[in-house]
Amino acid sequence: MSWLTFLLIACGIVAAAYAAAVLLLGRADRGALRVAAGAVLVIGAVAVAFPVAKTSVRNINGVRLDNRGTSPDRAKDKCIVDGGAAEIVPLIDRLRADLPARAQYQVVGPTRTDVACLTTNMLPRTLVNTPRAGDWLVFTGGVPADYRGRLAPGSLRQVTDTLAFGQMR
Amino acid sequence: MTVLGWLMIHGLFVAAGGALLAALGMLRPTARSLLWALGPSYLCGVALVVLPLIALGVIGVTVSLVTILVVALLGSGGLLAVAVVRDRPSRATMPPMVGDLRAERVLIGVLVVGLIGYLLFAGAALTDAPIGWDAAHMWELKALALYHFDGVPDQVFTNVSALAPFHMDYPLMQPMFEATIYHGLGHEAVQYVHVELWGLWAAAVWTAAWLLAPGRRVMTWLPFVATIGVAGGPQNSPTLGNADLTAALFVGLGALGLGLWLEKRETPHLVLGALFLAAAANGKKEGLVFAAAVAVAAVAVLLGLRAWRALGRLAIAGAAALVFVAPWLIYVRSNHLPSGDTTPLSTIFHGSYLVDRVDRLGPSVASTLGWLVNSIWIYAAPALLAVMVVCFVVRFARPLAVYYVTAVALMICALLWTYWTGNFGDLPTWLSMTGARVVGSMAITSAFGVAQIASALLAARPVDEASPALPEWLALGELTPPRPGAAAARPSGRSRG
Repeated sequence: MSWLTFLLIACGIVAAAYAAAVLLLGRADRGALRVAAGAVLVIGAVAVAFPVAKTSVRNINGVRLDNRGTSPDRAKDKCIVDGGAAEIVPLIDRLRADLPARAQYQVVGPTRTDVACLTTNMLPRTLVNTPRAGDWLVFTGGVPADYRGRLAPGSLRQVTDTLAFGQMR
Repeated sequence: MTVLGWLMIHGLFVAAGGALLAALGMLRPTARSLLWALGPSYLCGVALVVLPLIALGVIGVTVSLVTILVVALLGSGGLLAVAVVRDRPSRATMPPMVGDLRAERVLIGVLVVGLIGYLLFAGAALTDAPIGWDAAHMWELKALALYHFDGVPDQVFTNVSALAPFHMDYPLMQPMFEATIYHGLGHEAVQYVHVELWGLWAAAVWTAAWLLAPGRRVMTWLPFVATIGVAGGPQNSPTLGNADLTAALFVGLGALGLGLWLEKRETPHLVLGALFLAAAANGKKEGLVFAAAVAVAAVAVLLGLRAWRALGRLAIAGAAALVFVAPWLIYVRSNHLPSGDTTPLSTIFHGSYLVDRVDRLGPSVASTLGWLVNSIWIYAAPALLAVMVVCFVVRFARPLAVYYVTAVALMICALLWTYWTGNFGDLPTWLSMTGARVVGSMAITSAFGVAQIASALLAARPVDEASPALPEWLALGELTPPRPGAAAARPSGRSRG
């Protein structure tokens, strides 16, 4: 019944203006109603301001306490964790540290997280469908045997048993 | 370097916006006037610099720090030259009027100190905030791409095969603003940027106060500005990094600018209104629709008043605003970027699509009006309805009241249409995710509208006591201005009822 609440609040303000004009100004003509309505609105706004401010301060302080000490990396990969792929966070951290800016990479295996979230975390490194020499391969489900030969010697870096990355020959 | 870069980028915004206000005759060359106009200058500068950068980016121009410098300095220089040539401060530079009563001064002090303290505390509370889900998939993604690639890279912006589900058609006001900040700082700052988004809100509250203050008693408008300033509703978007508040604050200020123009018919207000609405239209897709709602409401009122010259001026301002709205829309169209949540009209009007989904209207109305009567949006919308009733009863400023109520009503209708026809299947989830924040434009517009009309209601005195805040014919509630020959027949003072 939100529409009823909406109308009742509006009617309440009008009624308060009328009552203020009659009771405080002693008349209900246009001039008195005009002033009374303005005064009711101003007083109403002041009356609302203080409890609203109290709630807002409490809420924003809660935000402050909840996020206190969050590092920039954790701030960025929140969408990975929220998306249920927290296990690849160590891989993302290593990729951000080891891949040069403007590097291009292909994900081999399930991306685990969605492409938008991955892109936000990896920019300015960009995801490609067809890697070229010098691009990077990111393995999320172990390193398939047929890919080992496509990597530059010594470039494979194992993050966990299933998470790894290496550079194309 | 970071501090210097921060000072430089914010200085550029202030310089560009300040030059615009000077060119419009809204600044006096005094320290007090310049300091009082700092917030409005910053916000105008953000719109004035970021909008051209969006246009340049989508046509393939590199948007680097150099580009930002060139755009800001060219804009500032050109506008300052106009200001020097004009050299005519307008009535909008009149100082705010503080009451004589001690209690009134104390209350003003409490409200101002409380508002400033809250805005600073909330900004400080956001320094460690993480990127929210929507921001990570849309706003921050685009901001980082704009920053790292010095423009609009195809890898992100037209990569439909990979990013189609993530609202690629959402406009660039906030991402470009964030990228501009990163360019100034010299590095990305995904947590600090939440503070910058909150800073836009603080500047918007300041701008509303600055626009409303001239010639009005402070206590007649400050409570509304202070209350919306400390409301809980605006907290959500900056905390998560979303763009809802960015769009909403520009919608609200655009509506206020046009409202003040309808009241006073001073061109600077029209220019600012058009600038803010252009920024709003680049803020979100809802921002575009809501900005159009405000413009339609203004057109409707002017048509009702048969104010043809004013309509012509509004059309010119609207065309100028469209210049900054069109580039992104053309880019979306020409690159066939899919819309993630709206349904094509051909589908909507085909067969029984609308009838089959009519059961979505009830929950949508309940959600939308429910949030508008929630304390986080300070009951501003029902208060605006009450103000309109009062204006009609006392025959005072009816066109102004009709303008604001029409604008907000059109926004509500547009939102309900989106919920009704949108292709998000799970309506309850959609409403719970979006309801509280998308009504922000309506609530902020309502709050600013109530502030303007309430201060006019309280300012109305006999003409020998004070100069009118409204044109006499408008204050009397007439729907048309007097014909030249009929002016003498009118009473010289305002109606006392």
